[in-house]
Amino acid sequence: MTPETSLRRPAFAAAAFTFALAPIVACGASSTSGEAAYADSGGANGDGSGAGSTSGAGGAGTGTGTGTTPPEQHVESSFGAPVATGRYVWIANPSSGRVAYIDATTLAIKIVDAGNAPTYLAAVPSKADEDVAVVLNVLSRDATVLRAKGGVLSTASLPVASSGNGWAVSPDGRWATAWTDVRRVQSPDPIDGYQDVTVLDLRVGKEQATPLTIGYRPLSMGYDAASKRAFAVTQDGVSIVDLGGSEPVVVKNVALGADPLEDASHRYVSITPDGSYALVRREGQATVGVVSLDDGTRTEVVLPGPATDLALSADGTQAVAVVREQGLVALLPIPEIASDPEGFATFTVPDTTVGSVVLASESPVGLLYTTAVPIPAITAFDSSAASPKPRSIKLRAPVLAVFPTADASHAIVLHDALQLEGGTKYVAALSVVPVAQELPSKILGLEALPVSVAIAPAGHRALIATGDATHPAYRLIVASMPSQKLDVHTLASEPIAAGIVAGADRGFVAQRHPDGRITFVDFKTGGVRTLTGFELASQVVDGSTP
Amino acid sequence: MRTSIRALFAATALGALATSACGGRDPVWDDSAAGQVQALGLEASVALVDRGAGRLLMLPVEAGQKLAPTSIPLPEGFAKAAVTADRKHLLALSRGVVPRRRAGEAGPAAVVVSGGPDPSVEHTFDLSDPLSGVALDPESQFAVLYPTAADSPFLENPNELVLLDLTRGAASDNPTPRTLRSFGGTPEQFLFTPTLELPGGPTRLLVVGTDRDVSLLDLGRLSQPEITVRLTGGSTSVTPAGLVVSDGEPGKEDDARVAVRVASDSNVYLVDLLPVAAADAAAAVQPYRAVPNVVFVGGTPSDLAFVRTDGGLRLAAVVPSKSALTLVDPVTGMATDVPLGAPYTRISLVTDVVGEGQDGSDVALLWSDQLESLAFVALGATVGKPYKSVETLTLPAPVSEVVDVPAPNRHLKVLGAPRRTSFTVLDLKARTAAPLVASATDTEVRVAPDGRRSWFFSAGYGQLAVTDLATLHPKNFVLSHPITDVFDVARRDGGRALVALHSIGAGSVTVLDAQSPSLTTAREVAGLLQGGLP
Repeated sequence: MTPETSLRRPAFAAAAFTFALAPIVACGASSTSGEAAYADSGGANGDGSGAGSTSGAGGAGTGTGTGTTPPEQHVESSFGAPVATGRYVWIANPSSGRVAYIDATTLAIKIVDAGNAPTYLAAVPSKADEDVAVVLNVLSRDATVLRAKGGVLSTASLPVASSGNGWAVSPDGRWATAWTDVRRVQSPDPIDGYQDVTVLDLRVGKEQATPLTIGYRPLSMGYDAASKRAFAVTQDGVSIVDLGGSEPVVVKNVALGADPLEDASHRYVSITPDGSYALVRREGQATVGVVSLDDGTRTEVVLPGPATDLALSADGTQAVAVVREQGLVALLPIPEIASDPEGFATFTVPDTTVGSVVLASESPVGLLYTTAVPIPAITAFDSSAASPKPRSIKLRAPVLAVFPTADASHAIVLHDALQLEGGTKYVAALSVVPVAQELPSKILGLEALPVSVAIAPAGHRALIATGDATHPAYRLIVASMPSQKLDVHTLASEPIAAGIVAGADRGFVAQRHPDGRITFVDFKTGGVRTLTGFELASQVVDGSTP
Repeated sequence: MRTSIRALFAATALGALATSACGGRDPVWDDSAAGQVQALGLEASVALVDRGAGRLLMLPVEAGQKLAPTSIPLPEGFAKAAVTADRKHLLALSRGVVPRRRAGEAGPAAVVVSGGPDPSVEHTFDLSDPLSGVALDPESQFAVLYPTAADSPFLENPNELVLLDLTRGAASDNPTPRTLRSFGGTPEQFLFTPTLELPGGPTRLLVVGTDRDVSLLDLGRLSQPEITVRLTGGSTSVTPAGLVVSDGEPGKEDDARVAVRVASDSNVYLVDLLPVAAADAAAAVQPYRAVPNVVFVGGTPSDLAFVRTDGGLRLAAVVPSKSALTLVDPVTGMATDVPLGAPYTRISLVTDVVGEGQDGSDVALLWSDQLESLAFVALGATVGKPYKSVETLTLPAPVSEVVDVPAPNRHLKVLGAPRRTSFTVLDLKARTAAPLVASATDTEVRVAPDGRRSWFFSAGYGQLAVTDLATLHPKNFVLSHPITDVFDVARRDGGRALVALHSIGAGSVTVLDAQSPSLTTAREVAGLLQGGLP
């Protein structure tokens, strides 16, 4: 049985949205599963946006499934992608040890030296008059904090105890944690637990690095909304870091189940934005665990069947669980569900199959779909309604992933496995779906699979980058909403990641190129411009400085 | 004691016994004149550089092929002379007295001489150092002077350039010395751009290529620092091999760019000239900034050109290893190959001759000194239909030289074969290639500035031929003496003359009526360099 792929929501859509309060979601995928559920490719915080690849954000994974249909599956594919802050894009060059800093409006490039092999970048929320990013230098085992203010770049270097491959940045921009996501490690040794993380205090003049030890093989890291605690979802449970003292300290580990020998590879964890609860879905099990991160209390919410997906609303007041076998959706109120595990509403979706759910970041509207069977439809529902009335929207091809705009007025739907009657010459397709209006969706055939999607926070544009080494039809599709206009631009090289520079009202697509390549799209004019060879820009001398 | 040719020829011409040089006469009579005479053709005269006599002997031609020689003194220590593209001026450089020990001795200088029917010195510029390198503006306004190995002063700055505005006289800002910012390189090539629409207004640039970087000098703001784009960084050595420029679309001031072809590299460097960001405007020294881009063209390009296609402006790179013309969208970096079927090496646009496509696209001519064919590429049909856009024309011989023909025959080009034993007159409109075969190797071709005829000769021989470019009818002559060069110049009476220089004597020429050449009306003149001497 070949599991289908589901690529969806926040992590890369997060690139476009402000997800400071984004729930922390992690699956306990084993290192060999090849799938994951949470991606923090960096830049998901702050007023800017990072670039991400098509990566799942909800809790799901390759489980055993039930019946004859495979499980819902999410595949993460993360790259050393650029990140955006304000109107700038930061791109690291591991070879040269430099980071390029590009003004997306003027395309002016500045170069700053980092450490040895700067590789993993993250945007840091900051004041309006400055742009801040942090980069992990994997060979020199340190991090460089990059600050740009008034056109002047400054740097600070901090040691990082162990080599990591990712960042988690606190909503207030004070903290950044370097950690290792084992899913990005090729052939990890079973003994390697990747339990070392380094928490950086980024305050100007008070920069400090604190090495900490957390549980075995962290799957995700995040913070509460107040930036007072950090959480690491590991195969041992949730490690909690107290950030309120003189220096960060791991204060406890909260087990996520009663069985200490439980296989964590089929466990998917979401943490509420306020850090109060962890919600645990286990593949093939008809329960959702609600675990208090304050006192470790565990509550089991029994559903009519195995939950195939679970999503937390952006404000953390509701979790939505999907029970595919029954076509049922359960709305779990938080925190009430912890004390009243039977106190939740449900509704059913008739005439179609749903197994996955994605929630808009600034709307109570959610979208249901399935990737397990080829159903050319998605279903919209209002999660704030007492009795939601699901509305199915007909599409023209089976669904691969769904990306709603922040207000859920539109959604970008990706299609693959185009086993359509009469056949098709396309490898994949995308649809622009006017969710809020009863208008037809618009579909566009693709010659290659999408590798990255980004949606502007305002919801007026979306970028879809396609093509890889197998299908070298490198394209950038710019979707305009509400017009549903689709502009296709050919890219000169393989796209890595798309992103939005909200402050410049532009989008970008980073591409594989030995000298670095990025294509910018001006959302106002539709014009595109590609920059190649960022390092060269640092070699332009104009006499403006002595 | 050596007997000078000048003296010997003078004696012969005067019917007097030649005598060896002796005291009491001007040393000029002892110089070996013929070996030092450089000839240059101007609009309405031929200039003979008489180094021994320290003068330019200007030879305007009157009706009846009569010469009206005029001597123009040269500053001491002549170094080099060059003619502007419009042939209206001659620029002569001199080093002065070397070594210069006394204040009264002549210093380095540059002299601008008019090339019309009444030659005269228009401007003289004093130079602080001897410079014999010169690059001239194709629009004939500027000249850039630079040091060469021949100048060999005690100490020189190889990155110091002197900019001359040839259209005005000496002033505090003319000439303007500029030392280029150097990262170890020295100037090797120069490109004067046409007027570009740049932020800050219409601008002409001097693009200077060294062996490792490219500098952009604003010819309208010579007091401002230049912009240097360092192409060589770290261990990578990048040497510019060719420069082309594009102003972009009319009316847009943010799409001008320079393309740099580099030696043994499959990358082409594009330097976009963009507006300065508002935040950086206060600190900026130029109203534009250089944004370099790298584009991969799949092989080492042998030539570049900016072209208009049906898809917009493209950089066309001729890539012999791919037998293709690679078109790069300078905005997106997208490259599209147009298969040519043969490894052509050179490109030139012929749109202005054959007419642009319906969509305003260009037509390019490609050739090679290794191929007995050339190709026309209609760039209007290139995007999406590359195979239908190339038209090949078989030639009698490969092409080593392409000579443009001025109006009214701009649709013609004269192509020289490698050993110059044959030529082809290419009709760009009719797409025909008419061969012309010479009996001698190393035959030179000179196309008349009025575009109506081409002259052929072989240095060291007396044979001369002219071909009417309308009919391609050749007419052969044998002159009395071996020819060293020929010049088709305007006569004072409105006609045209062909001045053929001979390698014997101190200024021997044959003058023919260029529009109706005949030995009957030709005039031979000898001993020109004797005239006007002390």
